[in-house]
Amino acid sequence: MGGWFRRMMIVCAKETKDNARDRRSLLVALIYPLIGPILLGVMMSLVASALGKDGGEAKAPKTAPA
Amino acid sequence: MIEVRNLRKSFNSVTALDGVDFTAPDGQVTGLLGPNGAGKTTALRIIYTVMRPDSGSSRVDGFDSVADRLRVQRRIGVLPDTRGLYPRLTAREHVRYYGRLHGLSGKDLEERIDRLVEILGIGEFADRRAKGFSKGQTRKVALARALVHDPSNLLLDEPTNGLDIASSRAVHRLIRDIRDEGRCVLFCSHIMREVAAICDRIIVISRGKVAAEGTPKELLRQTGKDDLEEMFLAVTGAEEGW
Repeated sequence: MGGWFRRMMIVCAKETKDNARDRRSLLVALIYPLIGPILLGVMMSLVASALGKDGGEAKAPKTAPA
Repeated sequence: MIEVRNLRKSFNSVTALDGVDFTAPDGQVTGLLGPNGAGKTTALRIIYTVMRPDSGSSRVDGFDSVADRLRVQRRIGVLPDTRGLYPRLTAREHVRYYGRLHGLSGKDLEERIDRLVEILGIGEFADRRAKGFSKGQTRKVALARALVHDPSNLLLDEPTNGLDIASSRAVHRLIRDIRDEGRCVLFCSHIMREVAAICDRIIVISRGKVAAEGTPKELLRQTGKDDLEEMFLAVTGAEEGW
């Protein structure tokens, strides 16, 4: 069990070093978590400002007249 | 010592090994020859534990390649036919990684790496990343990682393929040194001059079976030929061409 765990850690260390030196995959790995929340924030604020102008009436679905 | 007994392996309808028997003793270089697709690499893969035979057995220093995989792996150094390196690790890091997997560490490991770097002439590119290495440089690093744990048995699949003359000679010298230390070397090659220069015994495999076995002189005498290339063609029944 000890030997197996030790070997697994050696492989993990090698994989980490190998991947950390791969700029493209590092960039992709970092960009999505960073850009994602920012993009979501921008979209939410755009939706909120659009709704704020007319209280959402213009975008509200038309209901049948009483 | 490597002992292979009645080894059989098929891939669907293709029979790669059909009852192969041979022994590669300690203190000798045993050449495994055969035309493309004869079953050499399949036999080597079974010996170095990455493939299971359908039947028969392969033993390294008395340990079975299926039942005692880890013990076998500790006793063999392998230079396989595919020698991929991790492109973002340096040559020295490759050798260190394999040394650690074999349980080496600290000063002992670093000394072995330094020795291999010197013997194989890796120094110039030892601290460069493997991406962009030439074929010969890749082969030298693969050979260094096969030797890092000082194995008692060495399996080499075309070790000098792609090496220049000076590097080939260095590898030949290294193989002879390993043999003279009393270790077992099993060696696949298509270069007959190399086989004649290095091998103490030759095993010719053809169509999944051992077609001939003996010292180079014995094989020449048996076939009545005067060079190994002619002997090889006579024994395997192969003809010139693709």
